[in-house]
Amino acid sequence: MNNHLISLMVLLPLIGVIFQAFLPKRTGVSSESLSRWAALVTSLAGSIFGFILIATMSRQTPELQAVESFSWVGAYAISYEVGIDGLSALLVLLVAIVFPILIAAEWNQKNGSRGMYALFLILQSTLAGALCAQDLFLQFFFWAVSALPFYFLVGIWGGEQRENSASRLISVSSIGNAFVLAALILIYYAADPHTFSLRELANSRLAEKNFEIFEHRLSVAPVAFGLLAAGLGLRTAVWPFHGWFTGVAKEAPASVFVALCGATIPVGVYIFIRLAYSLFPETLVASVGWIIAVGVLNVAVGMVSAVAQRDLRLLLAFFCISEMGFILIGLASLNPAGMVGAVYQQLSLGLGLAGFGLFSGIITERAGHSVFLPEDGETSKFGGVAMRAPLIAVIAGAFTVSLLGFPGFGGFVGKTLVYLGSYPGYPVPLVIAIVTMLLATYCLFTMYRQMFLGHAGAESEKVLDLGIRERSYLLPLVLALLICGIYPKPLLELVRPTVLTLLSLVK
Amino acid sequence: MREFIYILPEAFLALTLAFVVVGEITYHGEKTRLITLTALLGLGSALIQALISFGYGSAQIFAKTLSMDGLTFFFRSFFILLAMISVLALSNSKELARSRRTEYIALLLAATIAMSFAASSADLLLTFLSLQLVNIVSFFLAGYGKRSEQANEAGIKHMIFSAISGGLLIYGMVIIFGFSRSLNIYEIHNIIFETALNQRAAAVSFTLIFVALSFQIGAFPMYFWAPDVLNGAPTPAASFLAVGSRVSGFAVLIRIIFTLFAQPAAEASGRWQVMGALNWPSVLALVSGLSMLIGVFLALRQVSAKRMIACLLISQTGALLMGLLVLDWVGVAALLYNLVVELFAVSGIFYILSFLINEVGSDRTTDLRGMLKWAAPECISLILFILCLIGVPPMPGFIGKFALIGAAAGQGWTILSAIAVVSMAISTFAMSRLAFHLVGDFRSVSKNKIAFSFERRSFMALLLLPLLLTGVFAQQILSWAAKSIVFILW
Repeated sequence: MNNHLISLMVLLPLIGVIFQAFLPKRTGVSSESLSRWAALVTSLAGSIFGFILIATMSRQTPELQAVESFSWVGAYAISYEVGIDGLSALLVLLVAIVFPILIAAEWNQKNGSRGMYALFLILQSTLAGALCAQDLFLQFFFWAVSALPFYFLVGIWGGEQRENSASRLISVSSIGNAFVLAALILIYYAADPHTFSLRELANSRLAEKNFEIFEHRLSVAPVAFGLLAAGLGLRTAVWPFHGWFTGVAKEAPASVFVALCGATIPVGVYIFIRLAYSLFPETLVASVGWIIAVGVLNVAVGMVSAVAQRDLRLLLAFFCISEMGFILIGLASLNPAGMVGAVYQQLSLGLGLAGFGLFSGIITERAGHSVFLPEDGETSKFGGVAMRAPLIAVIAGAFTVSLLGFPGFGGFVGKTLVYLGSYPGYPVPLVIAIVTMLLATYCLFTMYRQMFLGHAGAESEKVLDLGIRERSYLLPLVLALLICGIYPKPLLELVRPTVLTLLSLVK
Repeated sequence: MREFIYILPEAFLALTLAFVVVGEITYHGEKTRLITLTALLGLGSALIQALISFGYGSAQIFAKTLSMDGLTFFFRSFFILLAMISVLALSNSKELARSRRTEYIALLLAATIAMSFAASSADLLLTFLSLQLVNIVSFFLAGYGKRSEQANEAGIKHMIFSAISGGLLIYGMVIIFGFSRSLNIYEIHNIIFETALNQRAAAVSFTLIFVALSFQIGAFPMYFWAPDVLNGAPTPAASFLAVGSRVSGFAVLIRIIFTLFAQPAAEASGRWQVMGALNWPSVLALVSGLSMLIGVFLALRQVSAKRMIACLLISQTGALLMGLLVLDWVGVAALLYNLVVELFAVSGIFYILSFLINEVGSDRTTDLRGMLKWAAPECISLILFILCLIGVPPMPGFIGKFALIGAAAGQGWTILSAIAVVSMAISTFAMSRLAFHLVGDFRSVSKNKIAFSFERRSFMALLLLPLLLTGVFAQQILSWAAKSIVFILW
């Protein structure tokens, strides 16, 4: 089946970028609204092709679908090869849902809105490209590009300390990309014949290859795996590399932070899963213990830190770190249920984080800050918001319970599968992780109580209820989470065959 | 007669030079505009002839002093294209007064002739002379803004360095001449091939020649001139120097290294091996690694945009050397591909910087703050050009850097490739600092709006489009570059 759905999905947002760049600059309302609509339409157009892609995928098969392939730089065996399978399908869905919403969320951006839309569109395109690329070079290409827009998004539209956190972000991202590039070169030259095609690399048995450095013979697989894990870990803010991430959380506008934690980080984790399972099965099996350990530490450290936060965004950041730990546990469980759960959780977590992030953005927009818990001795600033803004309360509640994994929402399905899958192999780490999740319940409900219930605080009256625009972009998120939670069957069916094939490679 | 057909492009260039000089004397007032047109027409016909000459096949002409092979054809077209871009770039520059442009164009043409002879020369003396001509003209170009203190410093610095390097080059060549009693590099190759140069003589001559050429290419031992000269020279001249002077150095380096210090490997085609006992690839590796690191670390500390670009160029030179020391055609093809990318990228960077400097009156990164709001296409293109230079996706520079690093890694230079990757990462910080200032804070900046100029935009598009095409058609360009090397004459 050789259709061009994937290319359309990747390229349409880029056409939007060109449009934003060359739109003649005139002062006046009409050109601004033209640029907004253009951004939204191109982003949506890309997304719609993404939805069509997912809808037309045939289930029950682990094969790559919608494959497009042509040679790009033949001398280095680099090709433009894209395709989609169960592992990437859900994330394609996530990216397709999140980015139009982000553009809608920044609808009233006053400063340099066109630049912001263009950067979001670049992100949408590169992330979709990284998800669908079946050529290691192409995948790295898209993944590396996706680091740059954040630098500008944080550095320009961020808060007081934006320059500082933006330069931390770009430093960490470049180092991360350099690690991945080093791994890529190692892998390319270890494979015989040299190739970048993931399919051919999977058969090239990297574990048996060696290379020399300072006259020491080293095996390629562990070194490349380590470089890859470190490089992706740096960019996905896995503990202990999360320092920059909380800085970004503090300074970035809510929508940018959502693009980071709700889309980019899941894509990074996806790349790790894809490459680890298909290229380094032996090394993965050998290092499962380490991944689980890092996962548990992420869950614990993230959650303990989350409890101490007074600001919605920092709470969200640490929560994201902790939830990523769960996904790590799931993907390292080497068990079908755990793996499917990890993949599914990427989608539902991404949606949940996106919703929660946008909610914190709405609060910031109205009150000027998002500190929900007063310092000791101060009176609470918010409180009783539920009475004034019932819709915000309902929607925030929905996102909160989805993040906590309550039945009926997407988070429940993913988390339960991860629990089920990893319990047989790793009961103790799982129990530790679940206990820390109780902390999550405590801290999210504390937040909810402080914000929405009780007596009205000094700033509660600033929090007006949702407008039409906000309703129209938050509603799809809530609906998506509900569908994920109530009827996950079609999505799980997409994932399962691919996961089983990957696991059979490992076993 | 056939021999003359081979050097028709050079002949066209010389004729154009003559016309420009005559024009300078006779034209006055508005007519001086015609000079640019004359130069462009002459360069255009030279370029066409240079491209046609690809079909003639290789030959050695004029008593074997000139070697017309793939490398010559490649570099000749390259230099003529560079001269065209440089002449076009003048049209918007305010740094060079209109009345002084004729002189400047004449100098450009002279340098172009010298560069193409340097690329094609198979004779040690002719190589030396053409490089000296390149350097003398470069010295004029570097000090062209003679009223500015910085330009004076640039000119003097360039002159001192070029004098030293000229001296070293001739000493190195003398040693080889003394041994072989020949000036023709192919004869020398055969003589050395039969009776190897003794190791001490080889070491000394290689060191002397390489240090001399390291001035030309701006690599480790003699890189000091680059930031000062490129900063002090008027920006259009800096652009021409940054590409022309360096690339002519590379042209000579490739030819000399592959004929005097290496021989085709017996067992595999497309590979060379070291001739004699001197292990010079390790020396080159050291130089390459040091240049890359020094370049990026210097770039991190610069406050002036032009100096920063100069430092990134030092690091780029280090990376390019990787293509040379691996001693196979894959590496050299990667090197040539990078040069093509660099031609557009560096010209673009300096062109836009020149425009920004004219507008702001300074090239300190902090003064460029917030320019994005006033000149968005320019700033975005500048960022793209710099990204391309340092080799960050999505620009074609990335494919180039990958090809270079890959060539080195494929030959087992693991540490060197690691250094290259690290220096790429560090140069990203340097570039993002500049980019960050450009983007700046558009909440606070208020300035006059910059006039829209169709000429400027179209020139930028003229550079950006071919650049992007080099990425899309990377395969074709790489194989073209590879073809250029395969028929290097022996």
